[in-house]
Amino acid sequence: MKRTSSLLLCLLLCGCASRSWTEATDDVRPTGAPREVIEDRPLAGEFFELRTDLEADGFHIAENVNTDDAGRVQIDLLPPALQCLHYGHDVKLELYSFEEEKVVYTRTLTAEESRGVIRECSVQAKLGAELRLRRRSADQLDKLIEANGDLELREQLEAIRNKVKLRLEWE
Amino acid sequence: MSRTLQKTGLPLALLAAFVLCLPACSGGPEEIWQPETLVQEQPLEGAKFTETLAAGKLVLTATRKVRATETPVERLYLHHTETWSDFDWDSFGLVFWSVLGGIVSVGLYFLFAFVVFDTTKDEENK
Repeated sequence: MKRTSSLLLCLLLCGCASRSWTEATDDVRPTGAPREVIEDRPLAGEFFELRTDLEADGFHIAENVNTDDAGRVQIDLLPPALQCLHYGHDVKLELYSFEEEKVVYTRTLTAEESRGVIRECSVQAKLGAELRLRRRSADQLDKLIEANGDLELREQLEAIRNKVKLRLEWE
Repeated sequence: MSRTLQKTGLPLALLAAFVLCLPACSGGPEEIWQPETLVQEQPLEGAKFTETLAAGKLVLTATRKVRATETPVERLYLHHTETWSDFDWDSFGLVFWSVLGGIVSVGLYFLFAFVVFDTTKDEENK
């Protein structure tokens, strides 16, 4: 009996296992008075759609963008600038908020501003930066290079063209 | 003799039974209240955007005026501990035969080293 009991005990002790975990509940109890503040807070993690004017041939830009923790959203102005120069009119940029289901920001990109964007992008391209464009924007860039009589602008566009990398549809 | 066996065997058997009952005896969860701050935000107006134009990029910083209510509270956390017997014959067999195999290996080593190939016998014959 002693041996059997000892053996059984040893077997059971060898196979003993335990686990522990902590579970948060919804039960809360207040420990002090609530404090109320009114302040400007960054809109973190918000999703928007960047849209531009719909052209007669069906071209428009529609990209999903989102804010970071500091509420910042970075918009590449090269495609709208190319649209502006290619179609020969100011381009309206709109940010559509998926949460509020309405356009929350509007800005017009003029031809003058578009030239400024092209100039800055060409400087970056000459410094070796890679510029990513969708196929239709890249086609517009090619057409602008072919059709443009302004030598300075053409040179800037060619510098951009040399550093363009196509963005795929799913990107 | 049988009385001695009863004296030692019975407590061990009871202890074994206790181990078997461990899941049932593990008890309820431990309650822990931990302080935290409950924040409730209520937007007062729509988003505002601040523009920054640099290097062909438009950087927009979105902010919104909100009414934030911060309430210091304590939240209830439940700390569970569970103990159970995880014994199975497969793992027992593995350990048992491993130990037995080890003992037999050492035994065979000594048998061959000092009995079968006993060098002292050769020296004695000389």
